[in-house]
Amino acid sequence: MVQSGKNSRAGRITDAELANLLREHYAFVFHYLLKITMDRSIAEDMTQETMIRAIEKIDRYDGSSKFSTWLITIGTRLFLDVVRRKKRETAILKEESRMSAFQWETSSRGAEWTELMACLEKMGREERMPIVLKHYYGFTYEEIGEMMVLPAGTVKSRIHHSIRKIREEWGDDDATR
Amino acid sequence: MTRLDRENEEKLEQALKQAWDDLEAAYPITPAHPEVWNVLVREQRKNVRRKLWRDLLVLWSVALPFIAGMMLLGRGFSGFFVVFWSFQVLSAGIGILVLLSEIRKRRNKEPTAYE
Repeated sequence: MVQSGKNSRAGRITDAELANLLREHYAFVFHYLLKITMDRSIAEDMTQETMIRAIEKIDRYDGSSKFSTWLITIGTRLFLDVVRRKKRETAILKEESRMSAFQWETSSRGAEWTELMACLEKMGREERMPIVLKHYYGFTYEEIGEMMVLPAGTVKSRIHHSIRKIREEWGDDDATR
Repeated sequence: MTRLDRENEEKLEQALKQAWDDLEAAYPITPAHPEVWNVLVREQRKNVRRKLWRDLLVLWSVALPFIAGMMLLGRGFSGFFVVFWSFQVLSAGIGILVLLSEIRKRRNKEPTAYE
């Protein structure tokens, strides 16, 4: 897990340094977005979009947080925008078919498609996001709330609810095995 | 929370981490060559600077004639006294309306405002 940070003021970051930083964090951002979207092509597109936005907004990066955290915040908000726009545009059926494609692609890459992965896949993307941020990247409820523009209490209850849902399904699957 | 609950929680957390680690391993990615990144950053920053200059130019091309006009009106063309003050009140009113609509727009657009 990459957690390298750059705590100098962004104003001093030269073009070459910024290019280097973005290159270093490219895989990190891609893997974060992959876990959330569970769609390789969307994750790739959004990673590129995140990088472009980071270049545009670099003057606003004040170094108070790690560079990786700042990039994750940009990616998170971009993702939320896309999800909210998509909610209006696409049907659930289309979403489901894309998800099976992800399962097929992951399996074809030699990775095991576990019951847990299936549970995660079934969840809504907005539900999945705070769990990934909390249980994989170790962000606090406050930090996640800031990224998602939500109160920390709401984040906490969402995570709690989602974890319970996973545990129930995972437990069921465990019991039936 | 009982000991069993805690154990289950830890088991689930570990399983989740393992699942995500496996996912990362299944999708390796190699970023483009450093020179590609250098060009991207240079070009993108050039675009941002160009856009800022354009915005500044638009602002002054509107503001200058407006300010000059206002000064002329205020400089004692006595017949224009009412027109002058009407303009002042009107522009203040429009300014407040624009400000309110911007605040409302910003509130609706909150999720995109990551900066």
